Amino acid sequence: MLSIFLRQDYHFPLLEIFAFLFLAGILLTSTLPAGYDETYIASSYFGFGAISLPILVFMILVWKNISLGLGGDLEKGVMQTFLTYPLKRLRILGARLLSSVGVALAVLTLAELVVLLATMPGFAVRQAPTLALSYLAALALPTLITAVVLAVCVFAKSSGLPLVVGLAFYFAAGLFLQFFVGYAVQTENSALLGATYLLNPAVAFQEYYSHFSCGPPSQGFVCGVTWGTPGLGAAATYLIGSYLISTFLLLVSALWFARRLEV
Amino acid sequence: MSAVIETQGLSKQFSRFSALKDISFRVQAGAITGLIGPNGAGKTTTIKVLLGLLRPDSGLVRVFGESPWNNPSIMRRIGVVQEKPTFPKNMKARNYLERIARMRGFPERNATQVLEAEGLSSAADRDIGKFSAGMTQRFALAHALIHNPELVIADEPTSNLDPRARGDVLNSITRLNKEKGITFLISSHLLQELSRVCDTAAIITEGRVAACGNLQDLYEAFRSTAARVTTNKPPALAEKIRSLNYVTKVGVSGENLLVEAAPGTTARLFRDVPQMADDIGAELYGIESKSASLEELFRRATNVPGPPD
Repeated sequence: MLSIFLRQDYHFPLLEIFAFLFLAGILLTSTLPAGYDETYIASSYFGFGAISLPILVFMILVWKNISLGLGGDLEKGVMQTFLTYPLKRLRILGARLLSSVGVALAVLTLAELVVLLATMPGFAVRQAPTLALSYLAALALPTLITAVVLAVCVFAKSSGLPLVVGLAFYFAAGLFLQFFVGYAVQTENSALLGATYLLNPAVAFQEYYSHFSCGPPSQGFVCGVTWGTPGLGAAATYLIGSYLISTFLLLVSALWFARRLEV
Repeated sequence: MSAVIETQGLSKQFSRFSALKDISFRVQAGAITGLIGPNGAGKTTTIKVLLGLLRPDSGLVRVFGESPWNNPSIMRRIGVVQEKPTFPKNMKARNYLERIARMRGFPERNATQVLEAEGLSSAADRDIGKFSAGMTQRFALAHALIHNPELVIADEPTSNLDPRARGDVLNSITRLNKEKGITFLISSHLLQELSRVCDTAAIITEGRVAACGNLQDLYEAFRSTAARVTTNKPPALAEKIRSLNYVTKVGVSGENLLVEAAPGTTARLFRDVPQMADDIGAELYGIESKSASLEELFRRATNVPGPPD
């Protein structure tokens, strides 16, 4: 089934090729900023805020693949054909996700890794743990949105709606999450701050590294602990929590697909 | 013969709409069984339940003795032709079938064989999405047969086909049934076609089985006794025949009388009419029974009024 899904998803991989070239261009032409602590640079390498542009480009491909692939199969009736094969439903869904998500994610990770090692090998090796952590943090929100897109796909059996929901979620996150952090810090609202960190742990890591690794004071960085600044342990907890929410959504969708879905 | 498919009191509800209310029928191994009913009767829903695509709300469903819901292992023994066959559009026909054959544990050459059998050899290396509706239907049949199934469930397998192609599909079904012993469950609203190939039938209307069984038995049970009587004294004999309490209608047309009577009274009619002709001194040129068509059988089973006389 995987070979059939790969053929469906990447028959004319024009978008994927352009995305790869775009990503390689951005990564190869970017330079590390001067005057910053190296750990801080490593922590911000994959982008802060909502989602960095290279990651966003690939996540849009993932959401497109899930929506038009899985959603399209459900909407157009191809899934009915697949479900008449002597295969467990989870295996069919697993193959579908491996094709839609796994391949794109592997290409993205490989591209980031190759460019990083080719252009800044010393930096990559020295800052490997921080880079890995910040990469996981940068992927947390996209993963959550991907899980939402999958859930909408499976429950609505539609191809257009999940993509719209995914993009709306992304834009809403871009608009509101930073604002929520600022508002929560100003009003010292720890619940709102925790919820925001949980939705996008990259922001928690951003707060942590900007205070503990310290950017240059001329850029307005405040070193040391202020209210709402998470420690590394707390930031990691938010990261794990975020992935747990995504895993929960993924499991609910997978179980629904395997045990309850009627087509 | 053992039952390959068995349903008992099957029901299925979609929010407030009851698609299936009480579906009970059996498909015997080696038979060609028709699922007959008008559009919206519940044929496709019944088939989806049999394929494990829908979960029944209540009732018993057994395919090869097992429940089909969440049971992909029985699909090894079943070939499926969906009502609207849909396949990945951007794959070549042969390439797709080769992958399906491999996935099902059969040699890839089966793909070429089934495509050839369905007359699609010349289109084997074309994208499935570029097939015409009729080609897609034939491709669906090839796809259903690639793993030499014991049972083929086909939902409206002749829809989208021209009359000649329909004949070819029906001939294929009959041949596969006779040569390979494949059991078929075929749904259709084209009654003429099913009467050509089916041994047994289940007549479905409004989510219920109105009648089911051997096609000949169904004819016998549902047809009214109808006979054509030819005589030299039509009006007088018609008058006498009308006095029989089991006769429902007598029409006169020239020397012919068209007599309709209650079901199961053929023997009595054939005994009484000559006697009556004798009584009034009429000469009886002939008396012959009229057989009911499947269409008429369907109308009677579902209480749909027939065309005016």
